[in-house]
Amino acid sequence: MLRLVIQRCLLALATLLLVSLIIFGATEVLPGDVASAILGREATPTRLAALRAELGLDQPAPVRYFEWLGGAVRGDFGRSLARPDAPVGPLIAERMRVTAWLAVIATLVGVPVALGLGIGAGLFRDRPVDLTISIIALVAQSLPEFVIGALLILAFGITWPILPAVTVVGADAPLAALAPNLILPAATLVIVMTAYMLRMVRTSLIDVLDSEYIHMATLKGLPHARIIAAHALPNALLPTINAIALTVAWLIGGVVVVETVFNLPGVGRLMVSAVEDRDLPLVQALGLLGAVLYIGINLLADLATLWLSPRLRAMQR
Amino acid sequence: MPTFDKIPLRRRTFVRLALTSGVLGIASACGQQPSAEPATAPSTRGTLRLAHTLEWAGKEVLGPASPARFFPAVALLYNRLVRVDEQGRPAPDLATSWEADASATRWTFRLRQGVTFHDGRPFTAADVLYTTRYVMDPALESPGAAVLDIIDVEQLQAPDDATVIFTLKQPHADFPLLLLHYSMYIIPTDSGPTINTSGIGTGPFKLQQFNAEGTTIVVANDAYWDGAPGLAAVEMVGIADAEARTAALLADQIDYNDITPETAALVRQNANYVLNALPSGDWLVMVMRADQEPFTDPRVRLALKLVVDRAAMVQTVLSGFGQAAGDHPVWPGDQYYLPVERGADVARARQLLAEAGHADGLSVTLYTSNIDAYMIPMCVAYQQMAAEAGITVTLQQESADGYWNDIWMQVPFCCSSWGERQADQVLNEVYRSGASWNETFWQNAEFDGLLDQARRELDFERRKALYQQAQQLLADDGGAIIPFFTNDLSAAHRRVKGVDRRYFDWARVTIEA
Repeated sequence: MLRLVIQRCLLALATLLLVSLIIFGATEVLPGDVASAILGREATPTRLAALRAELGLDQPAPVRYFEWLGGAVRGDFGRSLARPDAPVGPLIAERMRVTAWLAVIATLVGVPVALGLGIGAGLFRDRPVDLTISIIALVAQSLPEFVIGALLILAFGITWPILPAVTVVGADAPLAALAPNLILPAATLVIVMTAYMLRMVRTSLIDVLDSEYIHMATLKGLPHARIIAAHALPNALLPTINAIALTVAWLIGGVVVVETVFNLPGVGRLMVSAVEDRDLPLVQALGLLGAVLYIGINLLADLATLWLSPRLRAMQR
Repeated sequence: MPTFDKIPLRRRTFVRLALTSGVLGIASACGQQPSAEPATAPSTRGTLRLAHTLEWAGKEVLGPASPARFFPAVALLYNRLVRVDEQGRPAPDLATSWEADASATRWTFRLRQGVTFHDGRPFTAADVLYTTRYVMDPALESPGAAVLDIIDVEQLQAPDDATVIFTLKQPHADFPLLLLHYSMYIIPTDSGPTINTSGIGTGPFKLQQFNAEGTTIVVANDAYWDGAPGLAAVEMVGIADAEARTAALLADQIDYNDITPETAALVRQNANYVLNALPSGDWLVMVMRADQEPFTDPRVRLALKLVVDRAAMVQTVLSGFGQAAGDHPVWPGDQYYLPVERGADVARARQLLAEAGHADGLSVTLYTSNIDAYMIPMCVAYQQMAAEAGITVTLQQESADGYWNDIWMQVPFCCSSWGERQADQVLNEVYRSGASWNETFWQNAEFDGLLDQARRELDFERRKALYQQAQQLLADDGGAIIPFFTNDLSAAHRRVKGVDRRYFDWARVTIEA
């Protein structure tokens, strides 16, 4: 078991290293170089050369990669190009607070709702309850976040104005001022992620209910409630851990769109403005942060599944 | 001394010069007295909320000389020596009158008396000298330095507290227009190191809170020399996304905002809002390099201009939010504007092409990019119009990244876009032989001569005639196909009054409770 855990962790590290290489490489192959992108119409040979030297672009790429990686490991992501006085780390930290609240609320609401609805749909398979839930989920899943966001703004911000349509406070606002602004964005995320998760839960539960050991239990005459609670659910929910992990990881990308639509000052919007500004240290740090979260969440889900499932443990031993 | 060399220069903001930058009052002739009455009694004054676009992504500063200046607040906090009137002429602001000597090289400005900065210091000639030297300091790298380069800094003089004398390196009969540049908002002496956060000027509002990405608040400066403002305060909220700004407007979170043509229809349907589509001097252009084949032949250049149905372009490309242009960049709001009526004349275009040896048709490649929302639609429309004259236009779409470096001024035929500038500036900056932004590579000694003559000519009518000759020459012979000027679109709640003119005065804007 320990060997397996170590193996998974090493694999995660290797993935992370590869991702760092891709992030760095991707920012290298942008059309033109960073200096010319920054200067635009103002580019003169002297200014280009000066800016390249200042950004360290006159160094060969491998040297810059290892310098950057070394700094990143120590938590030093360099200085933002766009905001000369701001180290990247604290800049992200301030925005992360907003995004973290958004993600936590969305997860805390979304996961129980998805589990409940998914189990309900699975238990009442093909009955009106299931059909209603499944159709709504399909519709919600096929609408992009920005459409759902726009519809929510239209409904609760403009037509029936009970909530702020977009956020008009800064990242440093106290939570009380921020909270009303989090409701619609969180609702958008909940709608999209719930739809996906509940469909996974439903499918998984139906699979288990069709399995031989459930038929066996039924034939043995066990009470239905006991079959569901003791035999079906634990086995059905195990595979959904990974689905939940994937969905939570999806949040990392989802917040970029949602934060832009609702003008929420979180890391997603920071990412958009960093890309627009060609603020490469910021883009790289945010890219790496996203990768760490994604890989970390999936690693946790893998380990949780291993730990919860004796069968898997045994098979892999 | 702050430096801005690390700051990405957003071209659109950078090229947009003084005329669009704000408090452009409605004053009339020189020496006009300010109206002292506030539009509304102070007790009932409201707060106006507006969004700003975060074009510099949060690194906006309050110093007016930086390209990253916090755009909506600059016009509220500061004054320039001159403003521009509805006819595009310089009108008094902090200067009450001015005169040139016979050579148009020595300009004497009389300053308004009794004006104080927000921190209580009196405004004097010393502040004008300081601001001018500050802007022209090469270490600051202000875009204003190039425009004001004509000033001989060594010769700046202030004979007394109320008089400033500018000595120019060359004659310039319209020197006051140069002082409309956005960098020439007057800041107090020695405030250079702190102005980016202090925002101290002489303007109708003073700073209360600055947070570019959150909410910035300015409050009424009741000691304002032109009378107490009509608003108690202005709140500016940073909203980067255009759709989110429209949502905020319709949800009554803001009262006034610039909008996109796509959302104009939404606002138009809503009786609570007023849509203001105000003509501007911003323009798009298809650039023919006059030093490269086939555009070396003036007949080819003219033929390519004659195929454009400008009225149709305004309708299809701009949804009607614009004005037809006649292949020169001086806009209809400029005092020197020359109307060049140019309808589509396919027959004459064909004839010119035949004379130039392209009787069998002509094939050209037009480089474009989505750097401006209208650019690709303009090219597609042009492609269709040119086809009628037997010209095959191949569109080559390039990435917006690196466009200004790799495509613009490199390829023979590409697109470009510019912000409004006054006639003398744009003609010299973009079309004079050898100018660093001469994107058409057109060299015409007669044109250059007309511009030089105009700058020496102190008589307005004669000067106007010279500038108009230059525009005609450019329209007939130059390498720029300029189909239209765009509109500035904004929407305001109907409570808001006083924002329905291009040159509105922020001190006179009001909002009903």
